[in-house]
Amino acid sequence: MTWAVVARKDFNDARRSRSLWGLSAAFLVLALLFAGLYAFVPEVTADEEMSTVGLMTFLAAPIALFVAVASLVVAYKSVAGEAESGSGKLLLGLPHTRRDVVLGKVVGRSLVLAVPVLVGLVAMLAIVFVGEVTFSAADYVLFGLVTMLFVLVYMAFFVGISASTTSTARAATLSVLALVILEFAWDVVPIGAWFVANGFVVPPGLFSGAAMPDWVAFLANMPPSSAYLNSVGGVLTGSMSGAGPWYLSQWFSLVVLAVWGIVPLVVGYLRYNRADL
Amino acid sequence: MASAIELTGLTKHFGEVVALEDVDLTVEEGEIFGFLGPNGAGKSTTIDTLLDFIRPTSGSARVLGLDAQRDSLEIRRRTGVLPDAYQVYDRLTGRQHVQFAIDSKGTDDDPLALLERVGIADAADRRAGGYSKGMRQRLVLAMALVGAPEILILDEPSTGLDPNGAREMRQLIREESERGATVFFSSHILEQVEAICDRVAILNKGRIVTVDTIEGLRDTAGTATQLSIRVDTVPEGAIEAIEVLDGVQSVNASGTTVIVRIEDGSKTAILDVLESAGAEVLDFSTAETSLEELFAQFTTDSQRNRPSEADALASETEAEPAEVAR
Repeated sequence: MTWAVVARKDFNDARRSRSLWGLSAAFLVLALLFAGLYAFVPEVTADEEMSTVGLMTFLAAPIALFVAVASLVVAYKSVAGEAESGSGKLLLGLPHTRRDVVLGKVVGRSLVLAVPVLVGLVAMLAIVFVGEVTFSAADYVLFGLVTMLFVLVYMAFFVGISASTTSTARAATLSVLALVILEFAWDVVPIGAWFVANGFVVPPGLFSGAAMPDWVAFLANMPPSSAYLNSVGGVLTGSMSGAGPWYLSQWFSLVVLAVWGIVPLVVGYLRYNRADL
Repeated sequence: MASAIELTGLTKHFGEVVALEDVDLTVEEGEIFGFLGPNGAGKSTTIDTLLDFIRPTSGSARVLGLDAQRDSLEIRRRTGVLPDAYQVYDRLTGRQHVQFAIDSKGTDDDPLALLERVGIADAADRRAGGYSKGMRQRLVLAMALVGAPEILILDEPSTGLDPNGAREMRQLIREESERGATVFFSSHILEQVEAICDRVAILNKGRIVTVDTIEGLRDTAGTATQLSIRVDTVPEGAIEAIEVLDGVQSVNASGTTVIVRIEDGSKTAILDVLESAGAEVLDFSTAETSLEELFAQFTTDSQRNRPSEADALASETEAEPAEVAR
C-alpha cells in the first residue's frame, strides 16, 4: 500500500503549479465576495437574522459549482496525462500497484482542492465577525466536513474518468461532457422522464412545479451538486430524514454522493488496470 | 542458479501489428546482457512486458523467478528501471525525484549520494523540467539505483548522453555488475553493448535472431566472407540458385551488385551460377565481415534467408547456452 507516497508526490507536484495558486485566489475571492454579499447586502436573502446557517446555505450553491469545475481542471489529466506523457512509466517502474496510483491520485488531488477551500472558509470568518453574523462553530465545522466530502467525491469522479482512458484529449472530452450534463443540463432529465412517463403528454404541474411525483424529485436530486446541497441542508438543520420517502431524505443524499465517488472510480480503475500503457 | 529473466514463447500483438513473436530468452543471474535491435524491433515491448506495463498476448515472462504479471509488485521492488520514452515531473527537483523512488521502495538511501554517483549532485535542488536530456537520463538512472536492486532493466540508457556520459554510464553498469546485480539493457547501437556485455541477443521484427557472446559473434563475423559481385544484370532465379549452394549464408541483390556471404564454399561456383544464368560478371571483390556488418545483416529488412543464417550461427557458437528462436 504505497498510495500515500503517490499522493504526497502528486501534491508536491501540484503545489508548485500556478494553477493551484490561481485556484486558491479564485476561491478566496469567490468566498469573500459571497460572504460579503450575505453580511452587508441584506436584500440578497430573506434572512431576518444573519447566521452561520444562513451564510452556509447562501454559499453552498456557488461552492458546489466551483468545486465541480475546479476538480475537473485539477483531475482530468491525473491518470491519463501520466500514461500519455510517459511519466507513468517512471511511476509504475517503481513498486506501486495501479490501485495505489489511482488512490494516491484521488487523495493527492483532493488535498490540492481542499486546501484552497479550507483557506477560503477560514478567511470568511473575518467577515462573519465583522459583519455580525451569529457564529456557530458546530455549523461551520459540519459545513466544512460535508464540503470536504464533496471535494473528495468530485475528485474521485474525475480521476475515475481520467483512469478510464490513456488519452488526455479523450479524458478532457469525457470530463467536460459529464460536467455539462450533471451541472448544467440535468434539469431536463427529470422533466423529460416525467414527460415520457406521462405518455408524451405534458404532465399537469410540470411548469408550476407544484405536484412533482417523488420519483421525479429523486431524479432531480441525483447530480452530485444536488445531493451535496441536500446534505448540507440536512446537517445544518439537524434533520437528515425529512418528510418524504427515504430516497428523498438528506442521509440518502450522502449515499448518492458516495455512489458518485465510488462507482466511476472503480470502473475507471478496472479499465486502467487492464490497459497496456 | 535461478534465471534473472526468462521469456517463454512471449508473443504480443497490438491489433494487427505483431510486436513480439514467440520470443524465448534466458538471462542468467549476474550477467550483463545486451538486448540489441533496430528501432521498432520490439525491445521496449519486451521490457514493458517484464514490468507489466503491457500484458502478453501469449507466452510468459519471469523475472527473478517471479511471474511478471502476478508478482509484478515484488519484481519492481527488487528491480531498478530506466524506461524508454519516459518523462520526468517538470515541477519536482532532482532530489524530490530520487526521494520519491526511495519512499516508493521504502529504502533509506541518501538522495544526494545517488545524484553524486550519476554526476548531477550540483543540480539536486533544481526543477527537473529545466534539466537537459542527458541530465534527465542521469536522474532516472539515479532513481533506478535506489535500493541496490538485484536486477537493472535499462531501456536505451545512452539516449541523450554525450560520449563522455555514455562512458560513465558503462562504468556505472560495470560497478553495479560487480556488486552482483544483473544488468539487462537494450540498445540499437552495437558499439554501446560490445564493450561491456557478457552476452547479447539480437532482436529484429519481434523475433530473436541470435543469442551469443560478443566473442561468438566476432568469430562468426570473422569466418564468413562477403563477396561483392558486379554484373550487367541480375538474371531471374539466380539469387535462388546461389542461395542453395553449399556454404552460402545469405544472398542480397541491390541494383546490379550481388552480395553473398559465404563460409567456406566455392566462390567459383557462385560465379558459374551467375554466368550460366546469362549474366556477365564485370567485377568482384571479397571482404571479411566486421561485427557491425554482421549486426547490420541480422537486422536489415532486405535480408533474405534469415532462418538458415540463424541456424548457421547457432551451430557455431560453442560457449554459453545460446537460444535461437525462429
